[in-house]
Amino acid sequence: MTEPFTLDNAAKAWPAVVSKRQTSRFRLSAVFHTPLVYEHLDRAVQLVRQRYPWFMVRLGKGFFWYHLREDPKGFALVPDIRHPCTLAPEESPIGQVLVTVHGFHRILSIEASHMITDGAGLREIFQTLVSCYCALKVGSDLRKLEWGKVRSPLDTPKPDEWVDEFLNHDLEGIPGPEVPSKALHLPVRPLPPNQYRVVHGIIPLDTLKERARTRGVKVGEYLGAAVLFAFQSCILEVPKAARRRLVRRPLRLLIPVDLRKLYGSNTLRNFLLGLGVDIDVRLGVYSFEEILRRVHHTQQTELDEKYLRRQLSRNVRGEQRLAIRLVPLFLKDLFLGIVFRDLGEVRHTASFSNLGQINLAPGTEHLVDHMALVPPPGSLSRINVTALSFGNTLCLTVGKTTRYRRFDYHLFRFLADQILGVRMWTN
Amino acid sequence: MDKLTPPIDGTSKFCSHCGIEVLDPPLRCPLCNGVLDSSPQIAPHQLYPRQSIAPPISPVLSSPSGSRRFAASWIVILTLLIPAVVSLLTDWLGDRNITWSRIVALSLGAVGGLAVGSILLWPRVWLVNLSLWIWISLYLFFLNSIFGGSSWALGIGIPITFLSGGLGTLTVYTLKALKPGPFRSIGTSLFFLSLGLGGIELLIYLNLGIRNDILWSIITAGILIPLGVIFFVIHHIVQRSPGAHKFFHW
Repeated sequence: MTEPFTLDNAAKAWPAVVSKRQTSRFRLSAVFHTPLVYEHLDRAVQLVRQRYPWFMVRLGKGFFWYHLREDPKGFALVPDIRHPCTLAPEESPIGQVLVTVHGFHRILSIEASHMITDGAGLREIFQTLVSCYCALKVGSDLRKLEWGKVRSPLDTPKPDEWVDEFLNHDLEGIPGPEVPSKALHLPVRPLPPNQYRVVHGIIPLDTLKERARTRGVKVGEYLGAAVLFAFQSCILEVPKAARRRLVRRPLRLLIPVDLRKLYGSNTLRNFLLGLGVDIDVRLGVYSFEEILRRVHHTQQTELDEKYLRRQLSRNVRGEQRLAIRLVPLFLKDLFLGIVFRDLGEVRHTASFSNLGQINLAPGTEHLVDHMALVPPPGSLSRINVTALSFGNTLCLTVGKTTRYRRFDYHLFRFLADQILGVRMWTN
Repeated sequence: MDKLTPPIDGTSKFCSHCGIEVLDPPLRCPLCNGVLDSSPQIAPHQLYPRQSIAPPISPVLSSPSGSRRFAASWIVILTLLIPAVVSLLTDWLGDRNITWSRIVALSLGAVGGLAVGSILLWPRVWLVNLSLWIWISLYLFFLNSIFGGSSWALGIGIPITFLSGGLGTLTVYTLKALKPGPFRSIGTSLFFLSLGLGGIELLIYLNLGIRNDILWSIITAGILIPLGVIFFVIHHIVQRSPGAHKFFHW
């Protein structure tokens, strides 16, 4: 691999806005019952690196666009850091290694930048890595192991795993989507750069499914409604006079949608769009049932292949215009930074990403206690939430670039009231 | 050993720093360079390190500043040497005398010294800073000796350089230590700027004996310091009013 790669469509704007605070990095972690074994871990990383060679890259700067350049330091095993998804003080946000594997005690993590992949893409790599490590730990021969839904590390890399799917659609003449109004942001103080707080709550999945089923919704919708409900509780805590000044915009939750199933893709690069669900607290206080109904129906209406093509069209149109292509990079940085901020974090209060179930190779699951997904730190949306299921556990993670604690209190208090036994841990 | 089959278990050890088990233990942890112990030292519930762990130190010792830095320094020196030699030769060939090219060569030497010093001393910012002021002073001193006349470099040039450098460094370190936020940073910088201007006027008076009827540094300070106070007040209001906070945020 000597030729530099182009960034995919969704990643094109990220280099213009990455900073020490908004690193674009997110993390998948597996918590084992026993401490990690260095030799098995190192061997598993080496094998998985060979399986996904495109991830050994670093961001490079060209005259017109950023691109990905091969870097042997990429996708390497490194010691863990206290604040996940942050960069070392001496590390430049543009020059960062885009994928790293971290090991600490009994937690194995993989961290990636949104400039190279999204949650569902990284999940595939993570499944291979954890299965490979577990298989080596239990003494299985990797050649004879049944890999099930997991991609084997011994397979050869497939070209369709590295396709920019955004560009594979005929979007001629399709109008762009309507731009939503600006959203309310909690006026919370930010943490200094290079700091990030995460709070994990582990919930029994069967109980949660039962609660969601009784209301006729999916687990993701149930949790999305709980997140919005917690935000509303935070606002209701503000004294009435101050609340009137604060609440001038709706609360909007951004829910990323994985497009691979909708469009039948096998790519490991970014292929996602976001759907917004909002409630307007100026209209009155919503009950949980009302929020749940709103989340459920919005998702049902907007999760439509044709409707989503409008967003795809807007994203791709900019990149394909010759006039935009010919603009030098420093001007593009300026322009893309403004566009990204104006269409991105300003339009939603927080994001809630449910990555679904993690699968491991059969016979290796018993080594893992639970798994977690840490969202990327936001600069304006300072609180983001993710969910990840493994076995009978669902780990709900709150990632914060603020010291404000009332949101996690309300979220986990509500879930503890609904579901018995929420285990929590934090950094 | 076959890469695809697990190794045979030996006497394993645990890293006291990152908590990882090492089956075939060397002297230090291969992941974080921590000390190895026969039993786990990390509490079972601790899932993030208390502080970020430094990467392992390479067993092969490189040159103190790194070979790449020395290479970069040589490139800078050679790049600046060419125009310096060309200007000296041109000057010499013109009238068999070196006149103006001394200043060119001296300036290029000063630029080279600054660049090489910064490359070799980075990231020790305070050393880079100190070398910067020393080089500027030397440059002024030699410039003064080339042109001759009264010793303006020692009397006024170098003291002003060090005064500005010292106050600039003090401002940066104060801001870094206190992290006062954008408004108070501007206020603090204006205060130090007033001090610097006052110092420059005092130096001019002490060394050159030039005394104006109106003290311009006091007038400037009379404008800058109240301006700094206004920024402090704005910061105070912004911190206490959500409306103002929001307004200035955007």
